Amino acid sequence: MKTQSLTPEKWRLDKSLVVVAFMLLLSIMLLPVQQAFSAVQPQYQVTGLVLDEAGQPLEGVTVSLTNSTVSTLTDQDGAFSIRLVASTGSLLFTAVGYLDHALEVKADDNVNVSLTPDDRQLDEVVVIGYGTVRKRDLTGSVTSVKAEDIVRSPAHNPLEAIQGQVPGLDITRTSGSATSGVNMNIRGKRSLSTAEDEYGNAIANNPLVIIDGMQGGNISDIHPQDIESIEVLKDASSTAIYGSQGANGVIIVTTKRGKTGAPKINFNTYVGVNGWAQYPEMMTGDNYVQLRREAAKAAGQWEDLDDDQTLFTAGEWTALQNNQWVNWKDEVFKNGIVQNHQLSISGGTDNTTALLSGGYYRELGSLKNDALDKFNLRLNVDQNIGSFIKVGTSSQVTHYDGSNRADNVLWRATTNVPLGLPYDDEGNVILWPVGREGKVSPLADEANEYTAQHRIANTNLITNGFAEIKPFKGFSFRSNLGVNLFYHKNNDFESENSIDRAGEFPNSLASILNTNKSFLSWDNIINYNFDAGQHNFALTALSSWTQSKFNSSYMEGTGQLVPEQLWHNIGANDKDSYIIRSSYIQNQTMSYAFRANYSYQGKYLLTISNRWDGASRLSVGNKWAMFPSVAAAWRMSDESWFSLPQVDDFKIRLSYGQTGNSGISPYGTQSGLTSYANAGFQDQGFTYYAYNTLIGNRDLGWERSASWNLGADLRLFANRINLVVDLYDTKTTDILLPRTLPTSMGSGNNTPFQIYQNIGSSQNRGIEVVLNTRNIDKAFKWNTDFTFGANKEKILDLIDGRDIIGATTRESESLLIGRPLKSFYTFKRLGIWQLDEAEEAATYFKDADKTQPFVPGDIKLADLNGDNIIDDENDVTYIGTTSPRWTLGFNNNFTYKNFDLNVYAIARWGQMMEYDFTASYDPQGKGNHPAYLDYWTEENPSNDFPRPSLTNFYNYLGYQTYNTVDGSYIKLKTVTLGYRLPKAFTERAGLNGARLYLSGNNLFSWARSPLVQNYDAERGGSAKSPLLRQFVFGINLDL
Amino acid sequence: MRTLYKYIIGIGLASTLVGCSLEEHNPGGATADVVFSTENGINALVNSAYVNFASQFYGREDILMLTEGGTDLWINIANSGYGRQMTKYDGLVATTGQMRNTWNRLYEIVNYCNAGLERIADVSFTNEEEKNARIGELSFLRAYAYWHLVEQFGDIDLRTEETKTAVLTANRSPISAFYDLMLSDLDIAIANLPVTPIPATDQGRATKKAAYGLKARVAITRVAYESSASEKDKYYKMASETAQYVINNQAELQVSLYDTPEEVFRPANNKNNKEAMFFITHSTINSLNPQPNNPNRLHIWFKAKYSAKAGMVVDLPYGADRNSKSGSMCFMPTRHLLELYDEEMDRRYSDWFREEYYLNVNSYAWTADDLAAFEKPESMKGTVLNRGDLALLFTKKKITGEKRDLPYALVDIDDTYDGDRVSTNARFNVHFPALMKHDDPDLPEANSQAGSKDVIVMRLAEMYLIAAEAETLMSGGNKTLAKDMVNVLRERAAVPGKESDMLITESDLDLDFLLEERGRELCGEHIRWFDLKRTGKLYSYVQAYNKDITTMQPYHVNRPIPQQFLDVITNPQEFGQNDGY
Repeated sequence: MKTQSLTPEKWRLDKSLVVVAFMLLLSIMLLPVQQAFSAVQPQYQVTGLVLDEAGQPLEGVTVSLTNSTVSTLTDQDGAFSIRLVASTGSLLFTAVGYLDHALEVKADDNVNVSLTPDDRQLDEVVVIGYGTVRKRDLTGSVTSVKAEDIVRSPAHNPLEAIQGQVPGLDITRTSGSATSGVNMNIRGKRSLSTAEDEYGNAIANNPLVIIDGMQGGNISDIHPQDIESIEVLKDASSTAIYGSQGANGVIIVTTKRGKTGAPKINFNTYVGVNGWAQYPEMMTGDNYVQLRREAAKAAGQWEDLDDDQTLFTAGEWTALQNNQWVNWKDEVFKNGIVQNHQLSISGGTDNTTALLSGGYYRELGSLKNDALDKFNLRLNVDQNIGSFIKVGTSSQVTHYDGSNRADNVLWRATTNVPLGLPYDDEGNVILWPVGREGKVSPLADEANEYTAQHRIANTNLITNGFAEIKPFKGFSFRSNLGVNLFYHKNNDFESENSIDRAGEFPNSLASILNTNKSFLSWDNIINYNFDAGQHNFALTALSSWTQSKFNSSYMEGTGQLVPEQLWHNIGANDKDSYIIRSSYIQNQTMSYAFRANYSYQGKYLLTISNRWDGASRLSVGNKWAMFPSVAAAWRMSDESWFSLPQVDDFKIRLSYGQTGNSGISPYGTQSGLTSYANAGFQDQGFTYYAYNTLIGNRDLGWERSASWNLGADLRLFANRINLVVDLYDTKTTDILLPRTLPTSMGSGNNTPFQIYQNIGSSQNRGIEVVLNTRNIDKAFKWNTDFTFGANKEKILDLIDGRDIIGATTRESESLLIGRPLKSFYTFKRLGIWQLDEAEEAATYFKDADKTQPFVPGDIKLADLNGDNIIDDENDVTYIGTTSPRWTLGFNNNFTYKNFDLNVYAIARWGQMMEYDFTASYDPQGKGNHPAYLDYWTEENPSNDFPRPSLTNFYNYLGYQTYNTVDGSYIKLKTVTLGYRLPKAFTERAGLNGARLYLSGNNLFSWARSPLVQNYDAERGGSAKSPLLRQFVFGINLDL
Repeated sequence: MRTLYKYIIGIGLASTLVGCSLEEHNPGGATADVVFSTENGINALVNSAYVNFASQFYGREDILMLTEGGTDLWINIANSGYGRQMTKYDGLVATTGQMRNTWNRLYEIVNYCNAGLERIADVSFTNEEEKNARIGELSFLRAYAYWHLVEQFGDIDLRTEETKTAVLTANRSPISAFYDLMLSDLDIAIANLPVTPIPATDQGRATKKAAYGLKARVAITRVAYESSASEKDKYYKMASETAQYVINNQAELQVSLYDTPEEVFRPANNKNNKEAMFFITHSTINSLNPQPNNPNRLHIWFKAKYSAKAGMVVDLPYGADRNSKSGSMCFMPTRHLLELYDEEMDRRYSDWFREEYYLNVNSYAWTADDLAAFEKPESMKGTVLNRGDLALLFTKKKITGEKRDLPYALVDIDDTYDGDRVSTNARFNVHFPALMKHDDPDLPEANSQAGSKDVIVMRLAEMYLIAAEAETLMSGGNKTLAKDMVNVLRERAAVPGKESDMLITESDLDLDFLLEERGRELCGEHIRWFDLKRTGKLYSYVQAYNKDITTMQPYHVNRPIPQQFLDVITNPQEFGQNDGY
């Protein structure tokens, strides 16, 4: 190979940086070719062997040259070889579970080193903001999830994979659609702000995400296999170094990097099936007909079977006579295939380490043409230049190519009349199964390839580079430059026969939405560690700048002649139909921060930090704010008087800090206008303006959170039990609230004006527990990881000391003092009025004039003010919240010989959810709803749903109470059974290791509410895109 | 080497100290102060004041339910529950969504008008006439919005300034303050508005005739709020004079009556209607309708169910009966409305109501199901109808004899109604004579919602009726003039040869007769509720003529103040809810 001629001597820095970059590239190409580097001989060389206390070789020990960036790892024989910068040097041997060992060496030494085990195992490094710290020195509340726990359940989104593993981190998947993501909150919600990001996602309570030290990327873009660790920073002392951005907690993702030594090749693959979702069956047959009879009967329009025909439209009646029943849900649901393949190669030489990883993921959802292809490629490179400069990059490209179905396919399948024929004799979709009087078929878009297409194509790039200089002992300067680019494209075509246009529009609709966002960040960080006797100091100072620019453009046209053109020729549409839009959003931040860590003998620990944040989105004069924090910890078990032999380690932590939130959208302090051109005088189009909903407030300042955290870390019985408990109390003041103005002041395009004000305060108090136990530790092993988080969230005060009633949706948008932020405010439903309660029912009225008494079959509502009139001012109350009272994760690992079994369950308890199926109760049966909804009739005195009638559900007093149900659930989320192939076999195959596994995901969910049946409540109440059961077969190969 | 890291640290620290700009850069945005200081900006703001009338009100069902629903003339098809809060005063409360929307959208218009009237003085126009026209339009639109607000909600919050900062209290202003403002706005509008729009192609802008017309309407409405006879007479006189000004200056104001009632609402006459004084436009170009899915859907709101019965299919001339097919979402006339017409001499009935449906497929053989649906004898099974044969007849007549044996399906007035109420027989209570005033045979698709016709909200006929009413009820009014005014309309409405039968005499004139005549002439034109309210007849007429409305109370003449508004202001107790709610 030609590259063999490259030697370190030539890698001179006085050459241009271009050479360095070229070299980095080449080093990647060289990775699999170990021989290429074996020819490289440094000038000063030390070799040796590292052994454990029993004299066995230790693999993976880091051997580093002190005061330099040179380091290497021992191989499987415990051997290492390291280059010295000078003829003598000091080597430091570090390994997890062993005490550090230092050794003076000179060139050409061959040393034998024996490491002493550190049974406290506390030297594991935890990533914190702008640095790392040994776990033993942590003063804040940080939960760390390691690589093996992230890949435990086969998910393409790492956040889904760690669900339930971090107490206080509440993760829910937004939908079961192939292209969906997740929502997350750390320790509850504290802000009332409605700020959104450029893509319309709520951001005010979102945690800050840091990937390899840089902000601005999406965790979901990263392949789980590429992640070394995920750290979740929860208390204010940990997050304060991030100032305002860290107010909702911080999630730090560190990706794997190459390590010196032979190339490591990992190949992971799985293939599986998606489907068999928990989803209720809809009414059909006699059940269905009976509901329509009951509805007409209640209205005095049905007496006997002779009246049946009046219940149905002509098309429905014909289908009924021919016994043509159809189960639309079964017609639209398919089982999808999921497959994931990931190959990573890593390795390196003394000066260059790198990791290259690529993957392909394909998921077919539960609807035909609901599909996602995801391609990802990651390249992490570290390069030493001389002995004290290190440069590197972490870069990743992720490309998504997805296809969605129209939003309402499944909803139509559940609510369309279950009559008619889905296909004709030739197998073509019948557009109007019960004639034009009925609804369009849920299968409309499956008629052919060009009936409708909804495509997304997203490409996200993360490219981070850094340079780190360590000019003298304990000092480092690091400069990180991050460039994140996001390109999103939505292409949509709907023909006149598509589900959204059939019967409404005579022509097709084609549209293209292009958005792109660039996010730049530049951090400069100085760290200085030094000892003064038994006092250890670590100082950090940094500056951080970010800038985000977002562009979007949209075009649409209707009336295309050739459907096959899809959105590729929008110019071919009707010229009068064009709609075009574009927008631009920019914002930037500038921050400075300082942190000092002090440790005395490792027993007494103190951290002080402060951050100054400036944000462009706040008003002039209020742009800057300061966020201090302090934390202390005491390792009691290190005290000489502490003599409990069962206790391996005991540490108490206490922290206090302030964080802030600028949680308004960019331009939120400006009073703006939005222009429109979609109106005219007859056919003379014109431009008009609507006021933006937000009226600018020039006095707007920061929202601040002050948090206390008291924690304890305990290890017992030779590390058999590991317990971490945290108690916290966060008070948020000057909450940024978009306050609604009186509607007589006008509105912006039908939405009442709002103005951001700093009003109100909220509190989050809670407890978090992590308990890891090794229950059985013999040939048969059983470990459990138990995580528990309980949080109580409440609004302490609001402007004028009175509740703020939701301006548009009182039921779900009201803010109630003493209640959680997202509360439900409506009638209290007691059941259904029964026949034997007729007399009592008649004493309650639906109207102020007392002309309409309640009758059996009506919804029975609590009369809270005792006036016997049920009205939606005096008889509405708090009935629940979307915030769970507690969440729980329970993970069990069993291993026996080559078998491993993992059983993972989660629970989320005490929250309400907005449940589509109960809200879908159709009292006249002209649509459809789940068969299990039990309605009241004289013969069937159900207490669940009111008597059918020939009217819409919203005409029932108290119908709103069916929008929300108890959403508590317990769920068996994942079961994985693995088998590691015998060593004899793998060695013969030239493998380092191989494991086969079977895994089932979303296996079973049990909901507490009897009104929730055959439904995976993790989905959060929506009837669209249910979470799918997934069964996969996978292979992990180490080459 | 050392030099390099010095450079790196140097650059890093330098950048740190220099910092970066935290100024907001918002090139895509716009603020009111900038945009509304130019001629184009003011023109766009005037446009804003028009948009809601089309996109949120005229053409959509909420305003229809609020202005025609809940009166003596209309009831929900099959007496169903859709919009019952408005159409039947059933469950009408402060949280009813349509109340909130109506209030918010009208006040939004008021805010645009306030902003425009405040700002236009400081903006120079190249054409002074255009500037005057815009002042006139803003004044007209503010009066028009306030007329809706005050009539629907009573004495509420009077705002005359653009919203720029937060004000969290609100107070009630007396109704007279609203009417003073409306009348002064309309005088400004009359003085400033041109006869033809500027530019002339902008059909739908308020013009001089619209301002006169609204002034007449506002004046006669104000009578209701005056207690003394002299004050009442003052506004009767104003109403009569203003209406007569229009009647007497038709050529100058460019407005005239059609020769027949049929022409008034002939779809072909919709876009350039001679008789219209103010109309809300919708575009035939889909992208020029803020609600492209349903710009004007009035055409589906009065349809009887006819399709999929006796072989009939939905077609453009008969229109989209999509709402009536579900039996819950459209208006049928009350028996009272049908009986207001003497169809033997008054052609307004046959011109504006559809009774007959002729088979619009090649042929149809009666099926057992269809026969059963109309209670026809099974023996007719297989009998064939051919294209063009009468297939359905929903008539206001009472048919005697073997009406079920006719070759077509017949639903007569006693099938549709059970006495004064809508029949509970689901076979028949969706079939009735259907109002055709809002028909739109030019839909993009036969079953489409997306109508594009303009909505005429004021036409010359109303001026005759206002003048007649004012002269009839004013102390010492000119009854002869009043009679002549009514007779102009009645003569036009006469079936050929029956002109003299239609003429009335002065002795016929009284309020009840005038309201009957208004019903015959203006039914379905978004005015009945206002007419009954201002004449104090809303409650009694509903009690007398619309027996399916069982839950109305006298206080329902005012709508409830939206709870959303009361929830937000800091003085909700002081402001108070309207009586009864």
